[in-house]
Amino acid sequence: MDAYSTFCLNGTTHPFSDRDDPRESLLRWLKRHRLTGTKEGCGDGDCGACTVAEVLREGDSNRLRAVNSCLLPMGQVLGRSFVTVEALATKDEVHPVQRAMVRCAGSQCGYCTPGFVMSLFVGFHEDTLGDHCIDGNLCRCTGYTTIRQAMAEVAAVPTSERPRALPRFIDQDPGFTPRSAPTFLTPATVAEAIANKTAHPDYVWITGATDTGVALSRGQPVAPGFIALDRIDELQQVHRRESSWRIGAGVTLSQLEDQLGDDLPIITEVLPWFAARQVKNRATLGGNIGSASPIGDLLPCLLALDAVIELAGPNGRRPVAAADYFLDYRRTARHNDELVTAVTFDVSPGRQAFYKVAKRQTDDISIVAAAFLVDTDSTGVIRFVRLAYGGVAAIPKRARDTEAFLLGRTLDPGTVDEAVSKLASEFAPLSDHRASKEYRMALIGNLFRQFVEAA
Amino acid sequence: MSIVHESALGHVTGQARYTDELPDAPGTLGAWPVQAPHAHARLLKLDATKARAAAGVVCVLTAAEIPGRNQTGPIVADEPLLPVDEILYYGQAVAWVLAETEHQARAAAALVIAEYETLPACLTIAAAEAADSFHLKPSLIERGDPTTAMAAAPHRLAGTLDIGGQDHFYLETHCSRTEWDGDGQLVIHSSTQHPSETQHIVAQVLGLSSHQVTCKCLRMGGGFGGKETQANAFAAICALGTLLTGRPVKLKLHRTLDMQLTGKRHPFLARWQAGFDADGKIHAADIELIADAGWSVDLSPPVLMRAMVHVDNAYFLPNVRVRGRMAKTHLPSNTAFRGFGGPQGMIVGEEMVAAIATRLGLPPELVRERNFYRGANDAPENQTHYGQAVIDNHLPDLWSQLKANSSFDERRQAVSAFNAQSRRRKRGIAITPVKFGISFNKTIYNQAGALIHIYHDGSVQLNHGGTEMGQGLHSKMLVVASRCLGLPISRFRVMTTSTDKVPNTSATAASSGSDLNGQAVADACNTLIARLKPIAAAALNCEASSLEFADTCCRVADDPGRAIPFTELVHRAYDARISLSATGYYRTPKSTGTRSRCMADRSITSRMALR
Repeated sequence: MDAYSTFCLNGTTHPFSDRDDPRESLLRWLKRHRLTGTKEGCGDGDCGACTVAEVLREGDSNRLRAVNSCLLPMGQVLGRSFVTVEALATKDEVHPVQRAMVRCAGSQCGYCTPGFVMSLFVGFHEDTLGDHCIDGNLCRCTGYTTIRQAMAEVAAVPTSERPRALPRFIDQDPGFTPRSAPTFLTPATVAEAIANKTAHPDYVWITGATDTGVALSRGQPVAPGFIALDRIDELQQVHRRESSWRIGAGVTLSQLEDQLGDDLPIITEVLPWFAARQVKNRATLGGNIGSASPIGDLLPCLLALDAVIELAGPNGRRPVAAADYFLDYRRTARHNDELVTAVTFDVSPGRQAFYKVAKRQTDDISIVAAAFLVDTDSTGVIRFVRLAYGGVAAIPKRARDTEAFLLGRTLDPGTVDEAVSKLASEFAPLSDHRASKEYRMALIGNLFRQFVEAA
Repeated sequence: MSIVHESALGHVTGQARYTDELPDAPGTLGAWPVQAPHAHARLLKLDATKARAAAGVVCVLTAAEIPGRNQTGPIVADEPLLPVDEILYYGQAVAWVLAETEHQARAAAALVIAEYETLPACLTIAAAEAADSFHLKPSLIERGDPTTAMAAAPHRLAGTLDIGGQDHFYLETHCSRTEWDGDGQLVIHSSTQHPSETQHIVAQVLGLSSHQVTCKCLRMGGGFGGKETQANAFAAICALGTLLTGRPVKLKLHRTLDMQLTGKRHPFLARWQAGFDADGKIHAADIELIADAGWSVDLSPPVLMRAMVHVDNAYFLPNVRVRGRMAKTHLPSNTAFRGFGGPQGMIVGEEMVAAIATRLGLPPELVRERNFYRGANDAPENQTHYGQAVIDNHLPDLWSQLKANSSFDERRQAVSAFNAQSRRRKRGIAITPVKFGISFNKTIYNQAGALIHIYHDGSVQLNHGGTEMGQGLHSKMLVVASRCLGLPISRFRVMTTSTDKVPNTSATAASSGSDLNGQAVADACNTLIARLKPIAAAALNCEASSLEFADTCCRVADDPGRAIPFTELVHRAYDARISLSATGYYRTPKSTGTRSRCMADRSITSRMALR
């Protein structure tokens, strides 16, 4: 059994051979190899007990990011470097975040604790401590007060003193070259990805694995093989010229947060509520478009922005307007042999806002999501309007009748009332375990009212 | 005395082990259930031939394989471990496949052929009522003459309240592992809040005696009541597998299976009627509670009873009738969950009081206050409807202190002012009392044991009957033993909870773990102290009664310079052939155990709830 690839764990290189399953999650691999500090709470990426840190080499320096090991297939681990809770303490000394968690009584049953420790470890070294760095971690004993105290305690450590708490092995360059597993291909270019797909039409695209990873974690086979798109440089690029944007499909939600700045509130307002940190560090724009779920939170934004989705396949590249892309429940204009490469749009002037209503503030599926973009002239007459919703139909959908009604009018109370009743006639949401259709109907109108009143 | 959690360092470094993480003995089998896809059905045929032939499969467990009793019910014998002919909830395991790996067991489980005849299912309390589907007999608590008082009351109100259930979501799902110890003893490691019951049920299913079975619980990643009885069946499946194959078996439920197979907090339906006067004082209350028990009885009777004795919350109900029933539905069997029915009862009382306040246009906190239990221990208005006095009732004082400290009235005015000018956003403020009974309703459970070994070198092993699930019980037991014996915490090691150290224990539940086990630990320490003092007295040439244990020595209390180090004392005791091992035992002093006096001890707290 020759190892065909390797990965780095806590400074040690591990071989990966035909006897290993590239679909197995990193969490399961850790358990099989008796690294039991990393816990499985849910296996769905919801609780964060399985959080580990990925080491990203950027030039001469290393960056850390927290990811859910339960969702990460080994095929996407190969050629990369990770840190688990076992590696934080030396023989003589625990890491400052561990010390703070002990001192502040931040553990009760202890099962969520390694995950919190790993999120805090990343926050400590990346200087991103704050509630958002632990919003993907659940403590069922509800010890959040003491965990936040521990976070405040380590936040007081000067940033200049933090690097010496990094495990030493972090600075070693593992020097891996990513290699494909036979059923888990890792192309480096779009052309290579398309060639892979032509050779294996039954393999499926996988990028952040935050959706497919759930199915894999639950032991569902999903597909005979996978083509991972998370190592293609072209897909990672964000370009902007004035109000024109081109965002690569492989850009993660965390990168969007970092790179979009304040100019695109319709997207940046959704990101804090889209998912928790560990998921945002893996989930991509292209994945959101590819899975095309009616509750994909970026999709209403793309509709409101009149975005164009760029697809690439054996016959070349073609643009598809977002408005024409979603056909039916999880069915899109993308052909099986095509992948999403980028999204382009020109931002129309006007006021933008995004609303999401969900039971858990982060890391939950929307009950209703709404993206609004409204531009008025100096007299308040609407000259451009987009009202796009998620969670209220089989696909993310614009309220075209209401948009047409509003065009040329002002947002006086009577018009708003009429717009709200028109909105109600445009959607027929379902009842499910998240909410009733009546509740969703109320939200459709009330979110628009909230947008109007916030002006 | 505040100490860090005894496992804190293990928690933060990932070194603290849970049941799943103990090293697998060679040959450990994995398990996966064959689940019925119906909430209610007759099981017509079960054919595991193909599964038995599948890769890695060692055996398939069905009801036919059980050598003892096919029964895991903790109170009523109505819970077959594996169904014989009837499926009673969706996802119920009709068989378990054991294989070399869990993966192989799962693949083979899909090959088991089961045929069903579907039957009508009750999935809600309303459906159970319509079908007259209930467990056991109704319960009743009555005081005074509620019918007459209701009719005579100046005002009457009635309402219903639907109270939802809740999954425990302990972060660690259920886990069990079993193996023979090499000499004919079956050893279970289980994430159980009740090792003694797990031991008993496993012995019953296997047809063994309890002394042939040892159950250990290392620590749990949360319990919240969800592991009080629910661990038993999974331990029994593993043990059955070990009995039949001779091999170790491990079962760690995936989250989805855990949610499908285990019980949750009981949903309740409450119907209430209240008679009251213009001041909001309640003259009569008539309350019906229906708990959704699920497919089997499990712990539903005491959960229902606890709800029935908490409907008063902190309010004196002079004439009251509380009726309780347990709906039999085709759902997983609902079970213990933090509060154990108390919250479901209390919220009905609070709903009643809030509705009265709304009807009369009075501030809710005023109506609450007017109905408080009050007066001396034996005052008529200080007696609960189940015949227990609210001893040391300081709620009225606590209430006024809290209202003053929190500037409640000023804040209420600020809230009203805000609401008057804010069209969409509204604020609210409330102050709500809570009276909650601690300890078990059933008197016999209010007992605990401990076992302490002192070794030559002055180090100590501490065993007690409680389980650690994050509540810090082990840490508290360390503090008790440390104080009693005057030793630093570092001298002690809390041992894995095990039925071969402390037998016949009660569940760690009912907010009683620290009180019961702590007294047992203290009792064991006191026994040892009583044996050690004469040795010390002889060494120090003093009266034994003048001695105390402190600062790692035994010394004359009035003359601390006259002391003998603990380790030296232990050596001398050993040389004098004095036993350095002792059991401890405790039972609550006052609980009488009659239906009308339910709680051994009570506490009243008042809680601010600001929204």
